[in-house]
Amino acid sequence: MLAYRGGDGAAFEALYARWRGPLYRYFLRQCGHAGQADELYQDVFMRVIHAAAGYEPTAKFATWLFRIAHNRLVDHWRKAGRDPVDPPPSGEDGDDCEFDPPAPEGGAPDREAERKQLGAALLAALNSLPELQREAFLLAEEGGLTLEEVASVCGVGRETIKSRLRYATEKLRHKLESWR
Amino acid sequence: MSEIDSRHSRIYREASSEEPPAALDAAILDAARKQVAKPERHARSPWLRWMAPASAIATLVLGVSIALLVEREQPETTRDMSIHPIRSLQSPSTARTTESDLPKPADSLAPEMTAKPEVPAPTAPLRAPTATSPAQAPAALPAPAAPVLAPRPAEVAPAAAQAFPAESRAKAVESKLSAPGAAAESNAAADSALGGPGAAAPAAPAAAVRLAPLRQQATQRSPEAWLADISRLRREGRDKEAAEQLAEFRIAYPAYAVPENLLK
Repeated sequence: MLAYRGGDGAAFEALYARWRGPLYRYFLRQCGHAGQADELYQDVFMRVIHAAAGYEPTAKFATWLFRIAHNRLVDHWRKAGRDPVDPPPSGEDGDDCEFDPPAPEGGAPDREAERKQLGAALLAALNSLPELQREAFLLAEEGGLTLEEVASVCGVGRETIKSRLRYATEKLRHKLESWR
Repeated sequence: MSEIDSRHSRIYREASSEEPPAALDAAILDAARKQVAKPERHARSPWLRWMAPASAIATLVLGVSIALLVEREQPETTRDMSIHPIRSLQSPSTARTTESDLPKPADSLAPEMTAKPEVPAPTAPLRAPTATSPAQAPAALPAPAAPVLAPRPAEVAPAAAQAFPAESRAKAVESKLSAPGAAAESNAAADSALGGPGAAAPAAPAAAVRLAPLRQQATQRSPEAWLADISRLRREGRDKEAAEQLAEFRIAYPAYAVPENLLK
């Protein structure tokens, strides 16, 4: 980013190639709608481009990028009249989701098909998570951020993120129990 | 991250492969290239490219011009600032001797001197080459203890009279020998020669005509060179010319410490 700030256009292309997929998927999973994801994704990269002149490496680039993305997403939710909140702690069974991922088909033909089905089941389970828990999962997986970095992006404490991730993992595990 | 099940992480990565449309990629990369091109255009502006060197050169020229101007207007003052250390190099005993040999203010302030306290500021330097020698100090005493850099005119006359008794005596003699009003002319001439505040005052046109050569001499010759000429005239036995030159010198440089041997 510093190289791009210094006028190196190729540096941005390398940066873009590295982060285009993760950022796009972050929006796609959070919005659930490709059109909205496209709009938010493009808007965030435009902000990155315009903010390059004043960019200071106070944090990892990924942290900076996903903080912009998080802020843009929060604006989007507010505009849409949604205010994501942390759900109350679930029961012992952790089954507070309305969505049930597809169960494995009996006698799956081969291993490849099974993996695809398992992946689809995980994405469906992820989609059923509360937004803030899903966001913590996505920031960790797509952004490769640590607990502290995710907490910094979301503007909450480290323990809060840890709690969100623990609930998310428990729910995913519960939804995919039938795939073991 | 330990909070995420590694199995979930692996399955997610395998299943998650969506990417943005190519049109979005093109639009973003195009915007990024345009953003990079903007500062380049600014950098290529001739004005911006030459602004820093031009400013540096202008500053340099201005600084040198001011320095030359100051040097030209006050050559003697700036040159003789180096005399100050001489005083500090004197041994304490020498300094004591010099100070003790100074006449008391009451002695040096002759009536003639007190009658014209408005003697202009001595912008000409004070120089006493003999002052560093203790043996000669009583004769040549004044310079080291006297202020060198132009003091205020009101303060100069008494101070100069105290510090330069020989000069005071010479002035006294000069004023006695001069016709009435000569003192005023002398002051005007001194002002003129030194470029003082009274230089522009049209006090006496006749005196101005008479003092024109003096002014020229003062600007053309340094006081040291002038005194050397006077000394040469003395050696050649041309005492009358030497006395005239000395009188002119006194008018041009009223506060200058003339060596004792030239005053005899």
